[in-house]
Amino acid sequence: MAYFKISLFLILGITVCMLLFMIIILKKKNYRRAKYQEWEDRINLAINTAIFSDEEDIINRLISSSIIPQNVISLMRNSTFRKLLTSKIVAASKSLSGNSESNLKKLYVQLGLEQYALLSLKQSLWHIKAKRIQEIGVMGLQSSLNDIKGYLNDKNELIRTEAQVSVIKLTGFSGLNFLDSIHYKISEWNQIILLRELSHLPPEDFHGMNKWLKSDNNSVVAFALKLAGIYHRFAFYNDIEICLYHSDPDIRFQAIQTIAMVYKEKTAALLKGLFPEENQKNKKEIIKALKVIGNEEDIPFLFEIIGNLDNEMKLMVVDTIANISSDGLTDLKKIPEAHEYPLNEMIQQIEYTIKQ
Amino acid sequence: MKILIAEDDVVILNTLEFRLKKDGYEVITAKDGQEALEKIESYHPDLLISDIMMPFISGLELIGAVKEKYQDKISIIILTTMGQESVVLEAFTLGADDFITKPFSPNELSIRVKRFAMKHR
Amino acid sequence: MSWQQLIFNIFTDGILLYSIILLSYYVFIGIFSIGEIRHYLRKNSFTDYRILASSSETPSISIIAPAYNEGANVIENVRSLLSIHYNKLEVLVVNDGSKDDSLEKLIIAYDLIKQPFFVNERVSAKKVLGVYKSQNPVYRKLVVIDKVNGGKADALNAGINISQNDFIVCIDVDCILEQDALLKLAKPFLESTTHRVIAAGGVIRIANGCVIEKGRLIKINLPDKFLPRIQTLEYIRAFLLGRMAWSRLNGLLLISGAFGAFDKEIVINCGGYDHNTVGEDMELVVRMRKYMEERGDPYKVGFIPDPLCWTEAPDTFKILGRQRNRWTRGTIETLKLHRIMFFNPKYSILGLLSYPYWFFFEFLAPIIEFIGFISFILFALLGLTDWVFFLQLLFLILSFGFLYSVFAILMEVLSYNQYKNSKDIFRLVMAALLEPFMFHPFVVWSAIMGNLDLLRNKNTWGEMTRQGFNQPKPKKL
Repeated sequence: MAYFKISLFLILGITVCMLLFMIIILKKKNYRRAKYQEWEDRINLAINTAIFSDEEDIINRLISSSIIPQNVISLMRNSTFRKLLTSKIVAASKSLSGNSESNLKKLYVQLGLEQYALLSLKQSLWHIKAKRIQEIGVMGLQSSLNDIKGYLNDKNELIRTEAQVSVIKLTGFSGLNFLDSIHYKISEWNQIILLRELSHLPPEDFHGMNKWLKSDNNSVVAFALKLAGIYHRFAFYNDIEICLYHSDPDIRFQAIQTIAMVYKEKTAALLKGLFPEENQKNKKEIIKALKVIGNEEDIPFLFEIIGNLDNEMKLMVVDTIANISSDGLTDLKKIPEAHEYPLNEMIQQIEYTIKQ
Repeated sequence: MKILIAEDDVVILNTLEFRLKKDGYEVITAKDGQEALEKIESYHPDLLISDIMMPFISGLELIGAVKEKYQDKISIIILTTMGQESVVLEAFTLGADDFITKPFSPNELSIRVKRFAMKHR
Repeated sequence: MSWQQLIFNIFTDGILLYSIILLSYYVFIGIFSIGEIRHYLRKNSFTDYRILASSSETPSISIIAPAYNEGANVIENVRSLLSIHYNKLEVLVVNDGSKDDSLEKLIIAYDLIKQPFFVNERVSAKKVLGVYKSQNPVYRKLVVIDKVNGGKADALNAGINISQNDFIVCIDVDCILEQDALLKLAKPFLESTTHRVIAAGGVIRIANGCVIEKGRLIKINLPDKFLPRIQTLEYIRAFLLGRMAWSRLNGLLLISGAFGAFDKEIVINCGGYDHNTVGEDMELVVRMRKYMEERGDPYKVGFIPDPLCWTEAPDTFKILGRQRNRWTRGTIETLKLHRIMFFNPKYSILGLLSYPYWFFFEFLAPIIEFIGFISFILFALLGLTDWVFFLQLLFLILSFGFLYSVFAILMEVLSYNQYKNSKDIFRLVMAALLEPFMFHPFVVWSAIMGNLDLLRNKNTWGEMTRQGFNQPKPKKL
């Protein structure tokens, strides 16, 4: 009986607490949303005026036009308001460039938001740190560069990624130097973010590329290969070629992709030579590469291999033959297997696609 | 000149609206492709500034639909992110007149818009 | 003590023990999932998914949507699929031998033309009658497949055979997807440096009562009718608490058939979907996991707690009954097919935790409840009942159930807060109170019927008539 009473009280007690908590949270959220609506229009107006302003002292301009009140600096102490304003300024900075961007930075600094960001950076919660690092990068706060660099090898992946991005934002391509010494693996997502960041900058030389292509960290090698391909770094052809013999099949895969983007005359022959020993995935990649870099000379090889491949690769070979030689398909139709399943259907499909 | 801006990023939408209104144009906004199509029907803008990636009807489909129905009566500027070359080429094939990449300078956009204002005078 | 008393004691002790384990499990899941959701929300608070939308390094995805007698809705549904934010995408709509004119409608609406196409039959599927693509470059991502009727699993397999990309996303054609659903679903495949992510699932939300126009979700409302509303609560519990926690343990066995992403290579290596079961979604995930365990490579099944997909829930007892009946049969068939994993250490978490959990607490639970109920009646008639004890236990369990539901609602409010209205939250809490009386017994009954039907060897999907999404003109304001 006692157990029953105790358990029941416990359960009902916790339930009631939760319900109360829920009501409080809902009220708080609704209140915050209402406040946001109230502030939103003002803030939008302030930001837009700031973006198109010609003056150095933006805040004065805003105050004199009564867009923001005189005591705006003390308003910053209200953390909800400050967070909303900061997030809007940061969001706008991400989308705009040129004068508008520098005006936003002026606004940010003049409002004293830089201090808040740096203070918050020292906090321990990882997601807040990461957010601040991002903010510092977006707002271009050069003075904090060394602080950010300290996070490049942080054990938390998110902090690392944001630090890498911010360093690139602040220092350009040379921000990639972290690749020299990073012990952690760089995930695909991380690489995508880095590539996107780099795409905003005018291309420069990669000073560390030869080091990175030989790194012990496989993800660094893979990333370097991607960079070499995207930016067409023919200068590193030899190092890329070496990667074709790497022990990790994924690196070889990436190397095949890259070398097709920086190819030389001998590349096709090289790939054909590697074909027999490679795994399925890499074989497919070689066929794809030949579609881009191949020519008439490679047709015999393709005719040779087509018989022993699975259907998926057969189709890819037919596609490649059709694309690299104007008589390719006609010649292919002369071989006996071409009139039987599956080659006949494959040829039909590719012929139709080419006509489109 | 009447301009319709179709953009789902609120920040950019606000900024563009603000700037173009200041420049003296009549501005209508739409937050997605569907709304854009509807407003094009009702307001008949002279210029459409549209993002490529938008909810419900993609920017490309929008361009296709607009050019089919209104041909050269409506000029089109598209907003894209870096690295979408193939999409940009396709947009031009479908009939887009100009493009600008994000992050962009509103001042630059304003100058480009002026070019079309001349055309539609 | 008489032998009847002895049996009664053993029996009640058994049920008590079962209940305590079950309740402890719920507590554990509840607490475990909180940390996981919080971690996910924080991580995503400043992720810009649009980066993935235009990047060329993203995984290539083929959406496969089987369609059977979908009628006129199919055109808008396909349109909303085609305008999804994603770069390397193809949308395959598989017309599974529909008896209506949906194929003709699609051909006209999207300017489709039949193409010669080599169908690489890597997984088994019924004959493909034609592959259609659009002549309009705007719809270049669309591929419509016409085939002989074979059921959902068969249609998905046909889609797999024809798809060109590396990952497949299987979806019910009338699901409404969030704009960034694919971006969010793709991310888990890119994040791990140590494990291969073989599949990822998201949260299915209930669309009943929401305002939907032309395939887009305009306003989110709690369903008006009681049944869908209770299911809303049920889904919140299952997805936000249950699956999140299981995903953290890397023991997730089920990805909803309405929306999930899979690594195509692995799916093909496993043989694709199994036509012989009605629970083909769960069965595939279990088989894929088993395959990876046997290979010994580190792998993961990911889960996104964000609402990604909205679908219509049954709103009559009849249709709900068929659905639950089918789910039960699917569970049993899957458990039976893979029974080698039961407490088998060779399959690590899968064999030692996930499978036993599904066996004892998903499969057996309704049966034990039912037997308990019948026995109680029997014992009552025989005058053996310790009423006090029984009522105490019952009350305790009901209160705990209510507590758990309130906890789930609280988690929902703290995280996604889809229902911002206090009135809606109140209605959800009311639903939690009514559930043990007006909903749960019916679900248990349907599960028992599912067991019986399976024993009697019924293998069909039954008729799932679609109500069609509520199409009220936007009067809800």
